[in-house]
Amino acid sequence: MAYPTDIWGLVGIWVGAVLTVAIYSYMLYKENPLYRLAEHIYLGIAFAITAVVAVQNTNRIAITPLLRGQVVFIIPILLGLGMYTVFADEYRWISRYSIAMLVGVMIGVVTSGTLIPNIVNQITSTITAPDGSSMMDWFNFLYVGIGTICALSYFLFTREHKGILAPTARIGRLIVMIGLGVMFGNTVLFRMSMLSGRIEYLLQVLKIIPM
Amino acid sequence: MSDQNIFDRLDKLDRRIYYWLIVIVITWPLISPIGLPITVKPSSRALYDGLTSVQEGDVVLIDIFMSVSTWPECMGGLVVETNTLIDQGAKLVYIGNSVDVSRSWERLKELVPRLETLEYGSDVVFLGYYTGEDAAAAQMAVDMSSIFPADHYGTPIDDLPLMSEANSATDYAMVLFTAEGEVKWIQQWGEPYGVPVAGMGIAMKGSALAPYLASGDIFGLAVGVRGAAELEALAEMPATATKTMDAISSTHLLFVILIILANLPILYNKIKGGS
Amino acid sequence: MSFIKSTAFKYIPVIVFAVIIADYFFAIASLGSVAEILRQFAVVISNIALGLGVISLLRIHGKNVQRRLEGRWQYSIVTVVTFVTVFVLGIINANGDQYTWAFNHVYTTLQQTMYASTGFFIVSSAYRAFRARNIDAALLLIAGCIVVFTNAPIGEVIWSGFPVIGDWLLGPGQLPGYRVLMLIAGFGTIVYAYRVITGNERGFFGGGE
Repeated sequence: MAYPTDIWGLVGIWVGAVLTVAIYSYMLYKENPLYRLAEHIYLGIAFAITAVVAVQNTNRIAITPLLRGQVVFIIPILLGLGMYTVFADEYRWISRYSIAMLVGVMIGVVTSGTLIPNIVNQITSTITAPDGSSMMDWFNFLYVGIGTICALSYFLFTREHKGILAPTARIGRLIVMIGLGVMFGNTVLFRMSMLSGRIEYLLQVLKIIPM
Repeated sequence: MSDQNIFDRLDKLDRRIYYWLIVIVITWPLISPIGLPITVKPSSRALYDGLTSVQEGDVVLIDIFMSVSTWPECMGGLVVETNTLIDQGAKLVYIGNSVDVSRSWERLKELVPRLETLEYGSDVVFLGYYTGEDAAAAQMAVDMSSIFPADHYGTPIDDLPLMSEANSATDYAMVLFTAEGEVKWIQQWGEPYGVPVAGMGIAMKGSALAPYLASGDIFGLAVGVRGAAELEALAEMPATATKTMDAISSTHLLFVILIILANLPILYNKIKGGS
Repeated sequence: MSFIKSTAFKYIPVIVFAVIIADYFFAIASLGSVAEILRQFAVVISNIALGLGVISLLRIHGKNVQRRLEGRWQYSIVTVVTFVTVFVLGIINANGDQYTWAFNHVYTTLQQTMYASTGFFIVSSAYRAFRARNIDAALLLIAGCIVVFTNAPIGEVIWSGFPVIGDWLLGPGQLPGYRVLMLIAGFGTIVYAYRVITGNERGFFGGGE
């Protein structure tokens, strides 16, 4: 994207820059009216975009097929509208039918989907010995196998962690800590890359670096 | 009476000081790039090898789950995926589970001008936004047109030649996820229909996706902006992600220094014998 | 009427769940057709339900304005006016210049900025909260720092061992922990489904009779 030359493009990127600085003024300086203003503009526009997309999509996937003769779509449209009765105490019971339909489909789809990838394949992968004969492969296999059993024992809350469970639960806890540490390291990457993106945008608007 | 030592003062440091430090260490390498080399992880290489194994005419489904907020993480990788698949002669179907997916699609077209040279409707289609997560993915596996009776622009799906040959999971050579939402593709397309699944995850998903990679439920994975930079290195098209890596280096170094500084008082007290 | 208001809906998840699960395990054409329709219904309902958050937002900010809550009501007006303006523009013409401008320059910028602001907070938490007070915390921090240096190219410059250890941590190192979480989530999903179809899980139906 090149640096805009039209007036509305220029106004747009500078409005964006001002809004960015307004939001970050809270962190870099202190809470102030400009930050509050930008925050509330964000709330309004984010929900407006969501509402517009919801209306467009409903029109595309339900209302248009209904108007073209697929009468069955009246049912989910009515059920979807029924969700809004949650705001009226007297008619809230109607929303329970909508939620019941959603919950039924979701638990059916998710339960059937979770069986093989999340359970069978994970257990199979844990107990399958490596093809290669390298020491590292076998070390990893043993580490993952023993570590998985120990971590499972740590999450066993129906028995007190005594006897044989005491050392295994302790090792399991340490292994979970390693996993959480790795996730923490990845989270840092995630947050810093997003922040870099914003600083880069400001530098581009100020023409310090090319857009 | 003040009896504060250096560690007490460090402990009470105004947070705005290190906020400004972060801004400075991000800004400096963006203005004056260093260009440190990037080594490629096996999982990123596996993803790229999968992309280059796609045959001409194969149809690939790309789920642009990412919101505009994850562009810095994932857009670079999506650009590489798109360019590579175009090179392979694949046909592309884009969908998205984020309300601002249309904005991501427009941005992708800006960064990959070759998308505009493809024949829309026959070689590339943007079906647009969908809701329903797993239920939608399960239904798409059987009949895409029931979730997308028209594309994002309102063109009826029957008028798109590509969609007549790519209406169910078995018609697709591959599903690529972007940022998030990978679980539904693994569970509803990968396992039941054997469609290969891979993609780019945001960095935070790297840990959650590791078991799927290890069990073979996904064949490749590029994680975060680092993964996007690795894909750019493999494709020999350094771009936004590669440029960001210098800022990543400086911020990560500062981050570890701050952690060490924060733990010095604990170490000091332990040495002194206090709690 | 009491049966319809308080009991009848509890049978819907059971029936729907049974159809979806049976369709997964048995290839029966008529069952498959019913399952398809149910999935489409769920997609339409979840799409229409996107507006629930919008209504909540308008109610909260509407009340702020109505009650003239000090320090808030002026900003609530900004929220409501912004919402109404952009919504009307989008409904009239989602491809129009004004809506597109607001989407590209205001929404995109603010969305990216708000999410990126967490970068500051993680730095703050690193300095204030990530203290290695015991072995568990120390292990978490050490693993985290090694991965931090693995993800950043500078790590390899500082010590060539960082990518080696880091790649192991990112692979088999973290695998047991997350595999267990995945197994637990998988079994938990099945248990949750059982609780829903036996009527023991009613939280999502809300309060009332």
